[in-house]
Amino acid sequence: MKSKYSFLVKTTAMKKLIIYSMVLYFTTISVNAQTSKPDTTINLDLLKAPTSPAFNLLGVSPSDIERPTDINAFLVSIQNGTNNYTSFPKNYAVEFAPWLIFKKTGNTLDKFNSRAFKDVFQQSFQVSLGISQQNLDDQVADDSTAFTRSGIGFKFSLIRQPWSEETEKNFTALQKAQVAMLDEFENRNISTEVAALAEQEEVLRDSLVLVDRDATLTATEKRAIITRLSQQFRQVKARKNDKQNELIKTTEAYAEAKKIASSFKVERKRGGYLDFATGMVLDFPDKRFNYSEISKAGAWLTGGYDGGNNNSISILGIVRYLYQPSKIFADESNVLQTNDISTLDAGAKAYLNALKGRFTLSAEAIYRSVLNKDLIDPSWRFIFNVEYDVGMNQKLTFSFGRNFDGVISKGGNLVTALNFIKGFGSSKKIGK
Amino acid sequence: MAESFNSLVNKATSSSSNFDSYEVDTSDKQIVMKLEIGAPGQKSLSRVKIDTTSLAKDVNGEINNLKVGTNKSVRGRFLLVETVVTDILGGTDDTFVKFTLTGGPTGKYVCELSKTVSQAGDSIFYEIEIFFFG
Repeated sequence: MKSKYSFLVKTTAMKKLIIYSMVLYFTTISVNAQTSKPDTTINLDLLKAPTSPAFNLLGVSPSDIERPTDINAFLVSIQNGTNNYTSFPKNYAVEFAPWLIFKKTGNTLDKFNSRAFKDVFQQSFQVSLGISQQNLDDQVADDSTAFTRSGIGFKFSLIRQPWSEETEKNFTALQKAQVAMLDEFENRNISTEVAALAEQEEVLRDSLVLVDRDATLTATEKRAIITRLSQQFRQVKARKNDKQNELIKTTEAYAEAKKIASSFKVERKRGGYLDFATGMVLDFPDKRFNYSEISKAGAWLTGGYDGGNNNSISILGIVRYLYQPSKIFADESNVLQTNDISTLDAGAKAYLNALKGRFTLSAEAIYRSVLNKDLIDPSWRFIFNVEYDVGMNQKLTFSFGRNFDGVISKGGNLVTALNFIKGFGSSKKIGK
Repeated sequence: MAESFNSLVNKATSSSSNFDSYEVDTSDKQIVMKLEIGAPGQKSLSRVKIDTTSLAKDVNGEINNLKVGTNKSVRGRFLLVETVVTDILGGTDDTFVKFTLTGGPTGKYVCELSKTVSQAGDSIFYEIEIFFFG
């Protein structure tokens, strides 16, 4: 007859089996792998999409990038850059969001919480334009060897998250203040002057209705009178509206709205995102605008899932394409000339945080290749890390990696802590 | 070149109110209004009434294709649009309202108003009133 505790025996036996399997697995790895501790970091930043693709590819970091936020500022920027439209600029950099500059309406604040592709694209789409005088060594120059280089770049988001709770809360509070302001605005007793002007409006309304109903007037006569009364009405309304706009500034609702609006920041919830950036550099070697060459180009796709800090998983992925890059990532020893070279690099990072931060697991990988030359093979690197905080300032760690050259390495204290691991699942308490 | 660029600049009246009359007929054709708000990123809230009847209350952002009533039903009545636009930190200090009315025998009516705030977070009240006559 089976004991009622037989399942516990089985469970304990299973745990031991799992632990022994792990020991066997990691021991096998340790035999095959080098015993050196792997470099546990992969620098994905080098694949990161640039803030301004045009300036990045152009190789200049203009200290004074023009960033107009409306059409007037944009026109002033162009006017200054072209010496009042009389010459082509020598060194000029501008970054702007076309939909937000040229389309005056359609993107009120509430729309910035939208996840619809049209809204996300239009609001995030940015153009960077740069013009620089450079020599063949990619150095900014102003001598006879210099020629014009122009960079153009675009970037936009494809997927974004809605606002954070804090941003939603501020938006709701601002809305509440605006409702109170509209209530105040409709209060004609806010001052005797406003009340008097509102009374004049009532008289004009009555007059307009009477004229409209007057069957003795011809259509032409009626239009003429109504047009004249409308002009009077417009003047009265303008005076009333100006006064109301002046008085409303003294109300609590106005002050509250101003407080929120003047510090309003858009923050988004954690979650999935996807961004794209691209750009290219055009050279005008003969200093003529009817002949140009593409000297550099690039495209970046960045996406992932930001899961936050606790009990969550975060993933980041980047794919980068470069044409004639200044430096080839896959060519550490600089064997290749960069002429007509295209490279494709990619990286990914996953991070799991669980058990209130006591358990972390991370995996990182990076891939690099030269697309149109056979001299360098594609290569990749992978790193896997596990860390468990067992308390009392002790951590159980394991790291495993594969380098670009195919060498596998491992590190951590997991294998040496096997006796310690055996304590798992038993009722034996670990004393201080 | 300069002229074509300058033609892109906002030509809206620097004012925050307007009154006008709009001719209607005796048909059952709908009068439809649209309210667009600028500049990008600004926060707006609007109320629309015909006489004392509310057609839209405390609407966030823009109002698209709001039916005001048929030509014959709105004759002799007043349409009132009240909007508050609050300037949000960052970006331009311009505020802008574009009001469009369609459906009457004279076709489309457009009114554009704009004001620039003096400080970030300031609000502007816009008021547009239309008298329907026939």
